[in-house]
Amino acid sequence: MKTKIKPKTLIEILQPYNSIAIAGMAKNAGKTTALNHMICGFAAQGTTLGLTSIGLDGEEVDHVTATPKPRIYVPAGTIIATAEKLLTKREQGINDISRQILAVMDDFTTPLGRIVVARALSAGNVMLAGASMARQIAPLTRILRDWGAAKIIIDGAVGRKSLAMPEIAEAVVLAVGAGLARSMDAVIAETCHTVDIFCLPHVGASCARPLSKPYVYMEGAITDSKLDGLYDRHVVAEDATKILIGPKALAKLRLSGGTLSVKKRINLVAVTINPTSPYGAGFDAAEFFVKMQQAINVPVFDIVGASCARPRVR
Amino acid sequence: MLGLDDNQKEAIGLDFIMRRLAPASPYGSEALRSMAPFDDPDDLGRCFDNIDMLMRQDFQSLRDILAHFKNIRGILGKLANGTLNEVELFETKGFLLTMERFLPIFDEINAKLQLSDISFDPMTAALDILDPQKLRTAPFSLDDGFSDALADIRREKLHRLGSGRAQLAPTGHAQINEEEIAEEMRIMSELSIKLRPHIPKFRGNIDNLGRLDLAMAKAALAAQYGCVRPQISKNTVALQNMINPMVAAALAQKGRAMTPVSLRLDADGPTIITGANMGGKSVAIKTAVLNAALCVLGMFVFAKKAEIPLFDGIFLVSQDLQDTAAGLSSFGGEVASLNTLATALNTPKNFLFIALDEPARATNPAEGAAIVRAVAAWLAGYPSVSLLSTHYDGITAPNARYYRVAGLANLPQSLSRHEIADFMDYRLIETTAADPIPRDALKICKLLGLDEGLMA
Repeated sequence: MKTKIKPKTLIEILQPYNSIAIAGMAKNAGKTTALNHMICGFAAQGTTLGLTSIGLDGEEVDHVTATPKPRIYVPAGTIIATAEKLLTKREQGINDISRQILAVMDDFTTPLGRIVVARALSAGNVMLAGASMARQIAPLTRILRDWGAAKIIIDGAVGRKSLAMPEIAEAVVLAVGAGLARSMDAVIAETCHTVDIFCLPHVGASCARPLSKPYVYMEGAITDSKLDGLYDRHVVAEDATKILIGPKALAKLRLSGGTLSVKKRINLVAVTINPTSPYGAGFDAAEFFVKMQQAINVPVFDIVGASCARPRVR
Repeated sequence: MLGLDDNQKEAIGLDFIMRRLAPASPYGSEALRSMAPFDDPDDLGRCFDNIDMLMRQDFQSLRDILAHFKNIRGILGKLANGTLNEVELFETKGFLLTMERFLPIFDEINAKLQLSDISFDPMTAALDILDPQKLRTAPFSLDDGFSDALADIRREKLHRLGSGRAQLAPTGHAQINEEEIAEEMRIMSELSIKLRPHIPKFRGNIDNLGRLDLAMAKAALAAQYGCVRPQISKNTVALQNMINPMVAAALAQKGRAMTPVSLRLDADGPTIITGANMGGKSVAIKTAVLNAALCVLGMFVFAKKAEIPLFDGIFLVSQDLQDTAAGLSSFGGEVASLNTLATALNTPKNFLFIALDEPARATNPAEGAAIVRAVAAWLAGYPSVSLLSTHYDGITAPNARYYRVAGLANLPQSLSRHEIADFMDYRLIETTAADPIPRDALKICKLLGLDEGLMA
């Protein structure tokens, strides 16, 4: 007998995690839209959020494609950690919260000045340019909590690399947009491969197979050429961001009896999709959503279309 | 003017000591970087008084609070003719809050110490500008308390925003945001204008914080190493059982201890040290220069007891420290530094400390000895304090004092190079010009196992 279970919303999926990072597969992946959706959802529950980013974001116009970007809109009470020059450059519609300065982090410098921690006294738009290095995230997260943030959201930059350390957040959301590739199939294939890599097993805990073959731990980036001669081995990478191999190489490894696993797991919990593209017409939203959902084993959300799905059972 | 170049500061162990001065605040570090030789004996005396007093006091509570000060020099520079933004106002408030916490602690400690040349102006009036409600908490915001107009705008803004829960990009309150930003700008400008007259007080306190912090760092170092306060003499240098901490640290790593050496130098004639190779003449010279330099920089010295006059300059001529980058040979470099020295000596009223480590050693013995004799006689003609070491025979000068390295004693038949140190007596023994110069070079050659045929 089948019981219909109401699929979880993105907010429900993210509920258990104290820190969440969001990364975009490419520019215009809908990352900021997804971020705003999350902020809005948690704010509605009365959760005090702490916000910071890796790399600059929240500009009004995307400098690469010159398309208007959604702004980051926060409720009153939100604690933000952002660069001094962005915070002090007040502008209606871009940086217009009433705020209170809480701390200046002298040791955390960015190209836009030191990182400043501030509390929003009103709702409004903010610009985020937090950590410029991944190792700054943990101490920033701590100070955001010290000032009362119950849940931390880290706006990652474009590309998996912005999540260079798994310790950045307890959960990661990946934003994918139609602008990633020319065809829908290509976008889905590329997403599929990325999700595949994010979901690689973690050595130790989840490695069920006996260690019949020696493990090969590879420090730094793993590329197709570095895998030469290792296709039948158990290759272990530092984490998913270090794996730069293509889908073919991954398939070859698996066919040859090899495995690929990671020392540190990045916990990918959801994928958001944006059917529009800055370069052209974009995709049919419904088709894109369904195809993506079928292709990957991670919950998919079209934030604008407000569709959501639960994981497909294989 | 110190007269020592960077190489020399490193070589004599001055940098070794400077690196061990650990001020707690950015202002102390600033004072350390701009540390200059004293030129007034009374100022120097008061600086020593402070170190003396601070060495008798546990000032950890002061250090702890000094560590909270952040550097606002740049902000003050901007305030002098500009408007501070929120972050700068926050940092200024932070400084003033720390000052409020610092003052009572300082006053309590200073009631006992009575430090000279260090005093602070309370800045409560300036803090009240940034914290009119006297909450005295760290966060800063341009809040309603600063202007009724801002209070009205904020009320209206919150009203228009509704519940305050996030909604995507709401429109319709652009105008109120513009008004708020304009009013905030006006307040920032007003606060800056009100703070501006306090700049001299800020700067005065900052300078005093730097002086206090540096004096505390000097006192902590002096206590750690058991340094003594040098007596500021008229024109005699008397160093009893002096130590060079850099040399001592290097020896300690090899399980050895540095032999303290004593020297007395007068202004009426040069002091000449002779002695065996490997006998520590260079170390003695560097240690004397180091302690003279420390004194003029307002630090306690590494000796049991010390008398040092306030020199106008300290010069070291040492072949192994010449700047070879100038393209001169080591002898040429030495001649060049003697010329620099001559210029300094001929400057009227310049009272110098001059140390020459084995001058003219790179040239042939006949001429070398003649040069050293000439240099010694030349130095005797100036009322400065000079010290030179040599391994040439028969170097004398008018009114000179003579020392020799005690040298090797109780020697076994043979030993390795590493063991020579065990039999070398590094003490300096005051002698007269008539005393025979010790002949240890051959002994050392033999001990080092120099080929027998060569020795015959």
